[in-house]
Amino acid sequence: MTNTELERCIRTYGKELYSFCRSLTHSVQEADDLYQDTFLKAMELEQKIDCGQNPKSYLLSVAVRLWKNRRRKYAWRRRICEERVYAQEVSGQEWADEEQSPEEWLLAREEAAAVRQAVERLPERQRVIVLLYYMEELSVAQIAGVVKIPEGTVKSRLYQARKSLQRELEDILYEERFG
Amino acid sequence: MKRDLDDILKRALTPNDEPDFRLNRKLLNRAKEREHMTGKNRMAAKIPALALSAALVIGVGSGSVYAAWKYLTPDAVAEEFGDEKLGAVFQNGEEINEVQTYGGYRIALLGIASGDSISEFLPTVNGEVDSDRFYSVVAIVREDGTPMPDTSSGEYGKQPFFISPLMQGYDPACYNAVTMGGGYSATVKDGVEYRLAECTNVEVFADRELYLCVCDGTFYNNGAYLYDEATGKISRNESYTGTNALFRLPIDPAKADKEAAAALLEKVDAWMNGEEETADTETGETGETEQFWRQLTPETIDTCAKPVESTRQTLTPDADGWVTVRGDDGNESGFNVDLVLDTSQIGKIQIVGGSDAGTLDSVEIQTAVIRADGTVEYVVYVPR
Repeated sequence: MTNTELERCIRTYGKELYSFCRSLTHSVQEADDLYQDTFLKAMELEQKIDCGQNPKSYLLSVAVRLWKNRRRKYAWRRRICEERVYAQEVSGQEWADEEQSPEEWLLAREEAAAVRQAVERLPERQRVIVLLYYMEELSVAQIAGVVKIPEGTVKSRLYQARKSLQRELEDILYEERFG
Repeated sequence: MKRDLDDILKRALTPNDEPDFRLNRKLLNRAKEREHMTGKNRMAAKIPALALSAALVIGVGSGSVYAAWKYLTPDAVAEEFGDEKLGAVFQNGEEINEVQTYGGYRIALLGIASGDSISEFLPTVNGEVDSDRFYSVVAIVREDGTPMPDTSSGEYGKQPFFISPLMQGYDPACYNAVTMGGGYSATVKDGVEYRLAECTNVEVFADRELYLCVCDGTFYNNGAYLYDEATGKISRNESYTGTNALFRLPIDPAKADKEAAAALLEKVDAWMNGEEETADTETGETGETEQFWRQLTPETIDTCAKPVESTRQTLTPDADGWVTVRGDDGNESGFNVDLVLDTSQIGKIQIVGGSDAGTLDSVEIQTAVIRADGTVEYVVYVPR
């Protein structure tokens, strides 16, 4: 893969991959490392990433594999050192919607932050599935391929996660909406 | 009116985090360097392993020390982990020459470096940034020449290694990297495992013998080394058949600082206490529930759990595959059969969900069986 091809892949998939890494790791530093290593590992494993073949699932599966392995490597470090905690925020969202008042925009932003925090509190094996399903919009079959578990297990984890989230987000689910 | 959870999740989780342009630039630079290094490594691979000892250059100096073999250089290893600042310290250092082979592994100490704020990544220990650190870079290869497993392979980590500086006069079982704010990163290149290990700076003990141990195990391995309480000296246990390399660290005795050493020992005690507290919180009630969930499968459910007959109900999916479950409290919940269950498994029990409040007696497991007529038999199990 040439640098131009890598740049094209970064342009096409960078944002989705980076968002996934941020949500997975909770740490800017670890997300930055995981993001870079994912692209580098993907290049190493498959000399040419053909952007025409939609390599998003492939990149995500490399990221998940690296993260699982990295957690093992850093487990010892974690027990001893405090990790810099990434205070999750809904970045990149600015009030630009003509049809939405600033108050509505602020409420929507707060709601998104609450939802992301609820997702963050999920056990990791459920969180990965939720991120792949709702953030990366992969199908159950694609997720099974990325995480390398049976489709039934993906469904079951998704169900468990949705049930927990339903409980956690009860206030938001029954909240009266604007207008 | 109830809002749609899927819609809320999709909106909140829309990818919004953009990688910084500097991060992408760094990534592209690393890709370029890697391409360049791959070429060099191919050449290095042609050099027979036996040439290793001849290729090493001896040298001792202050600041940092590294080896000149055709392994990755310590600065390249540091940069592998994104630590260019530490890489620069290694790059300006001198060379080291030490390879030991024990327990089927050839261990090369490639370099050491120590100092205040010499890394881009400084850990926080008990709320304080520990900036004065000691770093070592070690390469590990198999004696029989078979490659070390890649960090992404399932085989990786099955043979763990523990790397730590040790100090004469201090029992290594108590004073080692684990109790001195330690950690490590690992990577495998061309069948060679590289470890960048670090802990708080031990140079302050340089008026006594300093060692670096590389042994098998996740923590300090008591059987691998001998500690002479009379002289305080640490040595390899010759009768140990596993990996137990022990390097003498070439650190300038002038760097010894008794006051700083005493302060460090106090810190070690504090860290040890802090870690014990953490360990206590990690055990307790959640242990048995976690163990329960780990052993729970559709195959084991009948031996470790029993059905609550009052929860048993036959559900009929609607046109979209949704079923409604009535709870004991009168509340209703539902799930989509196509999404949650493996619809090819007719007549077999499937675990559709579970919950607990941290204790075994709070565990509930929701199960379902798809019947041949398309209905679903739902029942909640609890631990026996």
